[in-house]
Amino acid sequence: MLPLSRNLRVQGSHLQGLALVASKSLFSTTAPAQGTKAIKFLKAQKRRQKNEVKQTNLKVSADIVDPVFGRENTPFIVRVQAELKEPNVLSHGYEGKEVDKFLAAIDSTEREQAELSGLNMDLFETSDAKVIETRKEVILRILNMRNASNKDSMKMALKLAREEFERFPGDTGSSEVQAACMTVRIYNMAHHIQEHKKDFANTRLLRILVQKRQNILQYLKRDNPERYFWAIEKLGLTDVAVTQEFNMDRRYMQDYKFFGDKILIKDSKKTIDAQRRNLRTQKMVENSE
Amino acid sequence: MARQNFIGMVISQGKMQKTVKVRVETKIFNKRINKELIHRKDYLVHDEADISREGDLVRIETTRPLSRRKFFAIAEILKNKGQKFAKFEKEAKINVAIEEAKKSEIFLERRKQLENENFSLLEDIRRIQDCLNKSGSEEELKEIKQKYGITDFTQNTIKDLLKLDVTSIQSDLIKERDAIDSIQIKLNEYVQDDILANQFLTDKGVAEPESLKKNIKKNILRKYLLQDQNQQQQQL
Repeated sequence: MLPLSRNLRVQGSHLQGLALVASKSLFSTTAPAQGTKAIKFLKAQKRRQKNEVKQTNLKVSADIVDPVFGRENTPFIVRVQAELKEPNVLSHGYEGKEVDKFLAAIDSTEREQAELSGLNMDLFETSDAKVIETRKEVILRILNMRNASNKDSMKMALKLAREEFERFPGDTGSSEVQAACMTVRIYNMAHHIQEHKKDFANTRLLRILVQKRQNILQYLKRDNPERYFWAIEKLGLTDVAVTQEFNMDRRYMQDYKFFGDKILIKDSKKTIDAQRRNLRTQKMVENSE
Repeated sequence: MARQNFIGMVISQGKMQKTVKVRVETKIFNKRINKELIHRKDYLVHDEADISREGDLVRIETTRPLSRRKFFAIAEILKNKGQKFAKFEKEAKINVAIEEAKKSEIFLERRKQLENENFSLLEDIRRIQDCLNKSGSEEELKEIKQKYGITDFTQNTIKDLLKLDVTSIQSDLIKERDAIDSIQIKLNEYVQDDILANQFLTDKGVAEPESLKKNIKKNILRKYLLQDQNQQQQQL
């Protein structure tokens, strides 16, 4: 430090020295020659802070995508979900026409039976239109996709995913089809876990499934990069989300708000303080600009 | 004197202007453990045109010092894997956006179609039956004839109208099964007669079918037999 303080140490034991120091000054002060150094240091510090803020802003603004759900409002997933809630779509692969045929067939057989039994056809009364209308409505309601079980709706969603990603008609095994089917299953499972927080077994299965999807997409990247980029864009994922390490832990759940704003990890005082300090410097730099 | 040369991978691009980070890996012999270890060093490298992308394999060469940490420049790009990936990513974004717009249009169209679907088969059949039994007017039936594409009414027309698709699925299944069986028979013939099989394969353009393994040969034979059959079906 300064020669003055050294003096203090050397002559500390001597009363004479003490008196000498006291007569000058009790504190060490900066010599006028070091003023420029201090200014230099301050300037460097400001430059460093500015850069640090820039770097953190860059990190935040980068396209960060949830490795489980992908981007929000991915068109493909929105469409599949909308398809399952359509009012006129029937489950088990039935169509509205077939229901109509079924009802018509019942009516015509009734008439045929009446004819065969030898009734007077003038007396034969066809069943009321209203009754048939309600019958039809009931059948359509039972078969409606909205009232189908989760198993059936998953079946349909998987079928849609398969048909959209297949390389040729009937393709069920290519990497992108597998990834798309896994995505559908991941959505189903993740929504289940969000409702049942304590279902740890399925949480584990979800982790395995997401990692499996990552693996298969990584293989696709090696095998056919053009198709890979098409597939991840369609599924709402990014290259980082596929290649980054993923673990279904509390850190992930908190960072990506899997259970809303719930705090799952208590940060240590040290990290909280560091975060606060960073925020303060960020504000300071922004104000100075 | 020749300039210093390294081959390395671009690991960071786009963060600095005209500068990329290149990782150079060298093997250094460690005397203590008597083994070569991989030593990595990252260099800041000048890239005047900003062409290279993350993942490219490049050769770098020394230049005069360009800044405190920069004294290399990219001499050539050996593998443009990173550039390709960047291109694919850019194309995928545009292609997927176009595709999704089309698909959503189709989806909305189908929704409209399903909403406007008018089921009147039951009423039509009643009208047909009434007309047939009470010998009603022919004009009334004209409309129905046009609707379903029927020329003449018989007792079976109603049955045909009411036919569900289940029967057609069954017939398709039987047809397909027959096709597979016929291929199996042919395949067995070829497997037993080696000369015939080799000739068949050479006709199809397979080089040296004699050297193929037995199981692989069988697979290839099956593939060409299937192809032939599909072509025949299409012609029919």
